[in-house]
Amino acid sequence: MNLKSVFTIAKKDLRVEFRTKHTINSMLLFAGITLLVFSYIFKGVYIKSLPEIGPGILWTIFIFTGMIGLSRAFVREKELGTLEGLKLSPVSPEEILTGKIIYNFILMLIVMVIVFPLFIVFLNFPVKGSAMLAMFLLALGNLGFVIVGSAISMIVMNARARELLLPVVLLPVLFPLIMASVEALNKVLVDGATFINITGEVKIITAYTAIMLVISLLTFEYALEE
Amino acid sequence: MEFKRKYALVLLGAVYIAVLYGMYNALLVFGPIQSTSKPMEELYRNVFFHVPINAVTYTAFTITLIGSIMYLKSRDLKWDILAASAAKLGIIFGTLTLITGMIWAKPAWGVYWNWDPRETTMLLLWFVFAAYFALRSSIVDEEARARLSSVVGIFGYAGIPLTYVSTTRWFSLHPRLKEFSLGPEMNSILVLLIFSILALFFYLLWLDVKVEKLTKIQKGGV
Amino acid sequence: METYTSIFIVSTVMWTVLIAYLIHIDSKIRRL
Repeated sequence: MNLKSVFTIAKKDLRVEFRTKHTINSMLLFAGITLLVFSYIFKGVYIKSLPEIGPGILWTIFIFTGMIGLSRAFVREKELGTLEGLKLSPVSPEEILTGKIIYNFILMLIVMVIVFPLFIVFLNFPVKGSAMLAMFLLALGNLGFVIVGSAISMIVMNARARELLLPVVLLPVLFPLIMASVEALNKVLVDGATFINITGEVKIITAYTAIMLVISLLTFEYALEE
Repeated sequence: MEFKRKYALVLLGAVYIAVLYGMYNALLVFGPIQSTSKPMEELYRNVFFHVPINAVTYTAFTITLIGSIMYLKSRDLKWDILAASAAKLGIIFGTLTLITGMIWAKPAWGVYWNWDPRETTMLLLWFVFAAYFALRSSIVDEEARARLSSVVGIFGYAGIPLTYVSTTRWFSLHPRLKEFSLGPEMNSILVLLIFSILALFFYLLWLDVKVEKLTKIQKGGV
Repeated sequence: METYTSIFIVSTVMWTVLIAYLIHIDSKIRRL
């Protein structure tokens, strides 16, 4: 795989995105408003159970924000016809996929870095463990999410009800990752676990990410075909 | 695959009798068993229905995976028809698995649903099948539909073992299903039923593939 | 015991209907 092509694709997407910042702004707004809704639902009465559901809420926000971002990223390519341009260029499908993954991952990192502190602040979440470790976990989970998300988005783009279909197809595939990530985040934020305590979950997340990455790379050329 | 009509009917007849024999034994011949939980002494009978159907669901899913991979390799649409028919049967048998499971769970453990690892994995499998069909129904072009749903089939399959592993970890804190043991007679009836229902599944699969192929020919394809 | 007998009878009926239906479809396909 030619790393230069990969980074060129990622840079191109980033440059296009940061001209208008449409997608990232919509993602952040969506995350913000969802956070607002959740903080209203969970203030006062339910405060005792907040530590238990907090990590789940956080991941829910990330997953749905991520799906919006993925949708936008790929639908835009299809609408503008730039997808054909990509296919014609001397870049292999695997390189296109990796470039897209990097681009989407950077978007998710931006969302993460802004939403996580906001989450802690607005929900008055009592953080017991290391916030750094939590961020690392979030990044790890988001990486897996972005890999599978990019591959599945490409597939779903060819269908008719594309934005509707993306959650339907993506979520069942994503399920083990969500479970392991939420569990791990729970342990770190609520029980104050250190890295040693979450090796099991991290192993599952890493195994998932690795397997899905391999499958995505192998099948992407089929997804790209016309 | 061309079977002589005789063989198919003989198979069906054998399956019919075998299942009837199995049900008769399960319901009317076997008495209560030893178990730590009182309701289970009678309820264990559900195992004779639930386990074969469960086995068929996973078999169906595996066939969908095989069909998906083979389609991508050979581009022969017959593999796609196989994968789709297996998925169709898989979702039906999957629904039956979940229902038999819930019928069992309520009297045995008080709730219809336990978020037990096996239950959850089966439910997730159901959703993967459902997503597979949702995707298929929204793509009109035959080749694209086959290609894209094959990829989704592969992704879906990969997630299932991982789901089982992670739910087992997650739910290790919760009460697990208590196992009971069946005697040798019961075991042989169970095995008989598993093979019979599997045979029934393969017959249904063959039938469905045949119908799909004929429908295609009728519509003017090749 | 009585419930089991009725379950058995109901299951047998359903099962018979299913197999009969399959044989019916099978014969329709043969004719094509």
